[in-house]
Amino acid sequence: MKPEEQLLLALTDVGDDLIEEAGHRSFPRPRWLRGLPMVACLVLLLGGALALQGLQPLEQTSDTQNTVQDSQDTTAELPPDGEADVDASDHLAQLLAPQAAYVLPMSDDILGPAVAVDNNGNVIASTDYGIITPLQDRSTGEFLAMMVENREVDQTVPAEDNLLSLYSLEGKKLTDVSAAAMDCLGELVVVYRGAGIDLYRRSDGSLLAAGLADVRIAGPDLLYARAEAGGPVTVYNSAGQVVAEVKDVYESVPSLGWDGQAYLCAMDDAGLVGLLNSSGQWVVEPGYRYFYSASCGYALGRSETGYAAISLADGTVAFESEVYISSAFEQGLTLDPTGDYLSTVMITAEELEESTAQFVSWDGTVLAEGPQVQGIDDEGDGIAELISVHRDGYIDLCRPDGTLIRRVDVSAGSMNLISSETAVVMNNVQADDGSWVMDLFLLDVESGAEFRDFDRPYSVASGLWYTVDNYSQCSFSARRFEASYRDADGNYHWDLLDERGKVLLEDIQSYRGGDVYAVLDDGQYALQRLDGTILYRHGADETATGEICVLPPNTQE
Amino acid sequence: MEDAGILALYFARDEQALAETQKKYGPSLFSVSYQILRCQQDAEECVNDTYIRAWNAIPPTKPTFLGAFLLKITRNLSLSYYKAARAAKRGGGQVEALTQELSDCVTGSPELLLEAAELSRLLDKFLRTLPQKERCVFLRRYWYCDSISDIAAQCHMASGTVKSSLHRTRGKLKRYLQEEGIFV
Repeated sequence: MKPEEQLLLALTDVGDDLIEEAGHRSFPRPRWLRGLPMVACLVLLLGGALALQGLQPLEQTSDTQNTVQDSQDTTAELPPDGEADVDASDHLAQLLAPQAAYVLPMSDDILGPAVAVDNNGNVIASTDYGIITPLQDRSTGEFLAMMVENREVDQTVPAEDNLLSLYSLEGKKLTDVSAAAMDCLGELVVVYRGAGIDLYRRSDGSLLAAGLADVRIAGPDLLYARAEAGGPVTVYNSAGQVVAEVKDVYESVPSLGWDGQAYLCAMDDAGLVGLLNSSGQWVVEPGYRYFYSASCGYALGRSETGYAAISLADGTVAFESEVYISSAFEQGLTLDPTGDYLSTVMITAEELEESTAQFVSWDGTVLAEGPQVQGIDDEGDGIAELISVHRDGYIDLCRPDGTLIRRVDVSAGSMNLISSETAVVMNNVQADDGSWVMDLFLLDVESGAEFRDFDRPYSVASGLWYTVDNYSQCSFSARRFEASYRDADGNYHWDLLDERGKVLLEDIQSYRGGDVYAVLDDGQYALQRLDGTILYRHGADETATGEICVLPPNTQE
Repeated sequence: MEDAGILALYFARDEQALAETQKKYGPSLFSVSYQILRCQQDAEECVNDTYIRAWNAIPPTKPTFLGAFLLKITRNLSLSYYKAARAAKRGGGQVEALTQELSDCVTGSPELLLEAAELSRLLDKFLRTLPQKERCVFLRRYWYCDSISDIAAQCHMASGTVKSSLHRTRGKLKRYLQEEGIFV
């Protein structure tokens, strides 16, 4: 009997309690994740979240180490024990989780009329011409307030005396702040002003540093700041503690993200780059020219002699290559001689034409190769479900072990993956009358079945992939795609469809977060959920003129 | 009827025990068997054999988890049936796919140098090191022989998530078996 058959048979006699548990257990979405936006609102009502009304200069001390002050608990409710780790592969569920608020821009331009509404469609704030941006705690994703910046028509840059009006999520005006922009990371509030950038402590509004040349939020628990251009870099964690001082940061890629953690690409005095975590410790000691990506728990970097995949767990080099490593997966790595701009500049045109990308296992065995090779990771968890090899006129779709599933002819068009299971293929074909039309269809990767039964003559489509967070280079499939068609009047429209080709939303304008899109509903701008319900429709509320329209005036600050 | 009541019928040698067993567990027993054999007739036969074996075993056996006890009988019978059917080149179910997947966990020797009972004990120990959700997904696939899509629906996960979870667990099992010295 084969060993795997022995395993299958031996499983029969594992504990009865385990069999019973597996037979009856089901797993709803974590309760704490569903409750997150409501907790953020409660925190604001208690008044403990933001203290910008009384900003004070910091009492000067000789101690440059900022200590974390005791503060009332203003963080969102933590997940219950035993459910602390959201499965990394639940990124799609997290993406679709309801937000505390949504912004609806009501023009095709960056500046124009806009409105912010809460999760029940109540207007929080609006502007006739300007920008509305949520102020979020970037360490948790909590919405703290809405920032309204009113501009004069055709004023494309903030004025010197620019004002940001902050509104609570209940529509109450909190304060005006003289700033071009604001941001927040845990205990740290960043205020961008013309004269420089100021850093405040959120819990008491005290000023930590003023007139900084540069401040960047590099991760959910990492912020770095420079007092002067080209000067040394101070690294903070989200509690407001200084965790490191470094010579510089690799500006082209200042940080990498993986599995909810961010790592600063920090330079030592010799100009070599290492990776620093939010505790200020070197996860990877300086010794590299630069890092450019993180995937599957490995940082991908350029050394003096080539490229390497370095474990973020222990800093050891797991794989080295003379060729650019474009991504890492549990099953192997993609190598691409043309991936690094610098290397392509240095090689000859003949070398470039003859170069071959590869998917190799961790022991170096070539599993697939071709002009372009890509690993497809549906969940953003570092496990590739599919390998695509782009050749001249066709694309080979392969399993991660390199075995071919099918070859797709794209000699007259292109293909776009919605997930490892479904592709949208677009080929130009000649109709009976001699005209050229686009043959757009969904392809089931495994079975080869084709779906063309759309209600509209879509001519272009694109699968939707999102990065797992704001700091990661990894993406996951939303299992949806956008498709465009031209109506009888010659106007183009975009619809949102699911992986089976069913239309979810029509005339989408932009994705607003959670399960909400900005759409044109009978010619009016609206916010619509994926289930079709209209959250907010412009024109339903007549008072969107830049003033709050939820509470009467005497409740304003 | 609660398990305690059904067991009491067995102990009283009341044939109503079989009717109650069929009513409560028949569908899940059939489901496990069908997933392995993919033949209605063969699956029904295995389930009927299960009832006979349960009647003969209880008493003196008094299982703590009646459902698991019955399911194990069904699973064993179905896998034996599958081997016989494969020899006769008929039928077909998930077993090939499942053993193919589990081949990720093995290396080296063509046969495990281990008694079946000891392997079961090690697998039990391994499964208890896993997070609950991951363990349940693994058992639904390799014990209950559910399809990926069925597991996804039951556990409110995407199919890809289920596949990822199984892939990770197979990797862990392989390392565990290597550390235990199972492979030569």
